[in-house]
Amino acid sequence: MKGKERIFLCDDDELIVSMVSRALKKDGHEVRVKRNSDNALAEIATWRPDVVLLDIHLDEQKSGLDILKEIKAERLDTRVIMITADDRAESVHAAWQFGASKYLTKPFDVEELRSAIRETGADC
Amino acid sequence: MRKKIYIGLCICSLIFIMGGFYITGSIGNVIASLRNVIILHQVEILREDLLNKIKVVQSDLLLKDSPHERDLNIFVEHVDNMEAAINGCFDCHHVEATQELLVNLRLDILAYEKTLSRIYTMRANLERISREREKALTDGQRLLHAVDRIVVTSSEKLSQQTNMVLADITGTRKLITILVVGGPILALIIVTWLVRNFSNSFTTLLHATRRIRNGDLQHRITGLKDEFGVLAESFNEMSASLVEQIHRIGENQKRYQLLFESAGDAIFILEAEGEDAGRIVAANRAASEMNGYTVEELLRMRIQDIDCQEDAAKAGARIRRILAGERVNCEVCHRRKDGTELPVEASAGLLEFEGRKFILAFDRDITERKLAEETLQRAKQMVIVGEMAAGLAHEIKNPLAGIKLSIQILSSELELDEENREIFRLVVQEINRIETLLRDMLNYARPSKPEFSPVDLNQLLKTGIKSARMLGKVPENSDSAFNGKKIEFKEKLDPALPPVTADFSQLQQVFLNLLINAIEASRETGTIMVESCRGSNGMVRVCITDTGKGADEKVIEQLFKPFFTTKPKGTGLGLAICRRLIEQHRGSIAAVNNPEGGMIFTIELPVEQNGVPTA
Repeated sequence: MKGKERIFLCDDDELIVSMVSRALKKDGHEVRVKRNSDNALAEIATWRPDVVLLDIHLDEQKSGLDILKEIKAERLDTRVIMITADDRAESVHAAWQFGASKYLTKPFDVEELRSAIRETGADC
Repeated sequence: MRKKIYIGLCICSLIFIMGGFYITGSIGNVIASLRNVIILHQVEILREDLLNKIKVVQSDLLLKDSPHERDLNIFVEHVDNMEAAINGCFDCHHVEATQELLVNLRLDILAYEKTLSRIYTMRANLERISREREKALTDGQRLLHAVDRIVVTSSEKLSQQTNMVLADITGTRKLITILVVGGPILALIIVTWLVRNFSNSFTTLLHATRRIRNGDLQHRITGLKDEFGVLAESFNEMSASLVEQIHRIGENQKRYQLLFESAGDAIFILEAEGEDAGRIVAANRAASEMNGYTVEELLRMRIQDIDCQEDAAKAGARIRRILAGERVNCEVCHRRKDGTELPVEASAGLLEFEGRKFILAFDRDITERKLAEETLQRAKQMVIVGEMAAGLAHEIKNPLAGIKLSIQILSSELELDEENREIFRLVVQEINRIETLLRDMLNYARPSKPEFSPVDLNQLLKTGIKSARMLGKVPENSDSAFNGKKIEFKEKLDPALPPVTADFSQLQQVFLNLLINAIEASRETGTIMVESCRGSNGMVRVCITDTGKGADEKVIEQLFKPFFTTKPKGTGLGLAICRRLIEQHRGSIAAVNNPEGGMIFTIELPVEQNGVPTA
């Protein structure tokens, strides 16, 4: 299990972004945030985070699932945890299919997020 | 027959004519015979006259030379009379023998006259005169004999002739009597025969007509001949045609009756006019079955009587529209005899029959269609509700996630006093409540598709009871449904219950929900009975009975509707979700008050799931 990790957070909700990054930073993680899909893949590819927290419904250009597909297509070495209010079975199924490590449905507890990060790190 | 009549009449006429001729001929013959007899009598008289005249001359001769001697002139006159008498005999026609006899007689008379003449002319010789006188007397006597003989002979002949004529007359009279009596009798016989023939034929025809009138259409006339035979044949053909027509009419009537009676739709014929407008004149079996009244009862009612109150008020207007020629198609609510209501689709129009106006109405029970429409409508609504719920949930969950995280993080970062910490805890609790509501709403509006596998219901129920018991063993859990209650669980599970094809987790959710409801409904102490058995139509049945307070009928009606709750903290979706899940299994769920107190929830599930589960 890694103690300090590079976590890339991509979510369009301002409050979530600010609170999650605040909590994770406090936990000692290095956090970068992005509130839309523009150049998200490029930034991930460049920064190479350990964990990507990815919302599904981002904007009209791309969804979190599209970015997940691209990350896996680029074979980037990163764990992807989906954080989304979309609990439809097809979305969950698609995320698993595309290689997501975890699927957290909003609203989740901050503790759930912490353990998800821990669990996925432990699996590696 | 006409020929017979003609022949009969001809025979009668012929008999009369021949009889007439015969009688006329016979009378003629008799008259001719009588005439002959009369002539013979006249001849006889003439001969008698001759005889007398000869006798006068003879007596004159005998008186000659006596004091009574006749005057010569008188004597001559007597002699002339005698000659005239013999000459008169030749006026009649006689047979040759008689003629010859008469000729000889006249010659003798002439000779006798000559002798007489000589007697009266001779004066000298008395002796000779005497001789001549003797001779004359002798001749005269001989003449008398001769004439007498003729008279006797002719008298005999006359007598014979008269007898013959009398015999003829008697014979003719007998024959005429026979003819006069026999002719009419014969004519009567012929006429009677003809009349009887007529009469018999007429009687046969009349009898046949009466039998036909009395309904014996199979009757046929036999044994008639001639024109009556032809008439009988026509009559028989008419009967056969009648039978065929009646059969055809009967068949048609049967067909229409069958159509009327076997129609799935209710058919009514109603009075259209007057005070009786709406009165049921005819109703078929479907009408009876549909409305719960016998046909006889319906025939004593008006259509308004089986309409629901609201529709009964509109019946008059509908009848007026139909009378105006409009064909009315509408949905009407009927009230059955048992008070239940049924929706029907009515189609009614005017029917004119024998100058009277009626309304012909067809009613179709659209209960199932209404249910199907309602189900479809509900399914559509549920799709919309599902989409809305999903959209809404998503839109709520995002900000809720931010709020929840913020509260959690802030509460961990900030140094709060007890009061504020409690407020933060309550906010999180409220957020969790919103989450639960959202989850239930989604569960109800968009339940996950069931994944069918064989499920042991008894085992599932046992697990459910165990889970429910466990809730009671957590004393610190103040939210527990038990809330300190002492509940006894009883099982009455059918060991022979077959496994059902079902979604294990969905049924588990349903049973647990019902058990928790039962616990919540229970008083401080109570019993919850869990039963499983075989239901009707190959279904299996699960009953969960509590000993709680039960509920009003109005509450029971609402129990399975979403957002209906009697609990202060309930979302009102628990039983609605249960129903959705059971319906996904093509089963049913119902609640009734337990007569012994509390409520009974009954679930019926099919053993097999055929095809795709319902949405």
